[in-house]
Amino acid sequence: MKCSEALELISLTIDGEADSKQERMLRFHINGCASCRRALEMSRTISTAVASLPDPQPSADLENLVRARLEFQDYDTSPLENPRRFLLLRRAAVVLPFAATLVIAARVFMPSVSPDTAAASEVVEEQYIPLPASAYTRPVTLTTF
Amino acid sequence: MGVLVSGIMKNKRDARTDSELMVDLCRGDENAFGEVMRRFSKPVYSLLLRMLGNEDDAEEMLQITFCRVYRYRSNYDPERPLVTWIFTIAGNLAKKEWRRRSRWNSVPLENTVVASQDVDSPHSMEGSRDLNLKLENAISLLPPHYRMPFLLREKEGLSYEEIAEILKIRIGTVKSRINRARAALREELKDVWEQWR
Repeated sequence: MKCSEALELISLTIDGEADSKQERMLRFHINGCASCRRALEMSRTISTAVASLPDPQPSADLENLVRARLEFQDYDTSPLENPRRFLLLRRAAVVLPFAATLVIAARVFMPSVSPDTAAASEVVEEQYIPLPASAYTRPVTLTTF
Repeated sequence: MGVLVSGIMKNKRDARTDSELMVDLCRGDENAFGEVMRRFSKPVYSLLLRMLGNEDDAEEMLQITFCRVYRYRSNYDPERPLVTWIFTIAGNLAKKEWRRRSRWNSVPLENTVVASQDVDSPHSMEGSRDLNLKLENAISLLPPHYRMPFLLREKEGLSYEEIAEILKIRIGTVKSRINRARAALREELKDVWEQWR
């Protein structure tokens, strides 16, 4: 058995998930491997120590805080904490200033139309009288054929 | 007299099972919800604090966890253990928070050691407190995807199947992540181990 396999078995053994055959194989391996024996001892010590770590206490007012949230229907995290919504906000924060810059640039650099010119074009449009259809047809001559 | 009776009732341990509490909650028994919070607040807070590294975030997520338990109480399947369902909700919130932190660089990613050193037990000596602190620090250095299955196994004593269900991963992946977490802890704590024995 390789040491990497033995280390996997160590983890299973500590969790009580190794079967008797696996435990026998591990015992056989660690008899001849000081490094894995040390790993088993360390893992056992760490496991015991982690299990006996003190549990931190939540706020004593938890029940009231939760009930207040339920009353105000404040169930979820704020929009800023929602990754998807937050991504949209971040995109908007990039796109909106860019769009605003484009609009300002268009106003500054594009040739402006003076009110007089605009009025003149309206007059021209008003005076436009379409020609009769005959004006657009070519007169038939012998060379046409 | 009424206050006295209600005080006694509150201190008396509720004999109902977790599933019965949830069934009663679905029928409108608000006291059942209080009992669910009393039973699970400590282990869930412990996990969230060790996953998120600060008390404010852990407290916020704990409240949201119980809000969701209440809100989605009708989705709970009484045939399944309540602990798995509640840890799934809390685990998803913790994962979401980690994802948010990794996207948003201004939120510090460095891990904060759980304030277990504040706990004053009559047996806590300076040496063991120091070792606990080193152990907490080593746990906080584990990558979150190793830390969560490791804590669920070692601290909460859940089975591989339950952890796989909570994290929605295969049992083989649970085994391998716990094994890697242990290897990382052995490496991190090899210098202090001798004084620990």
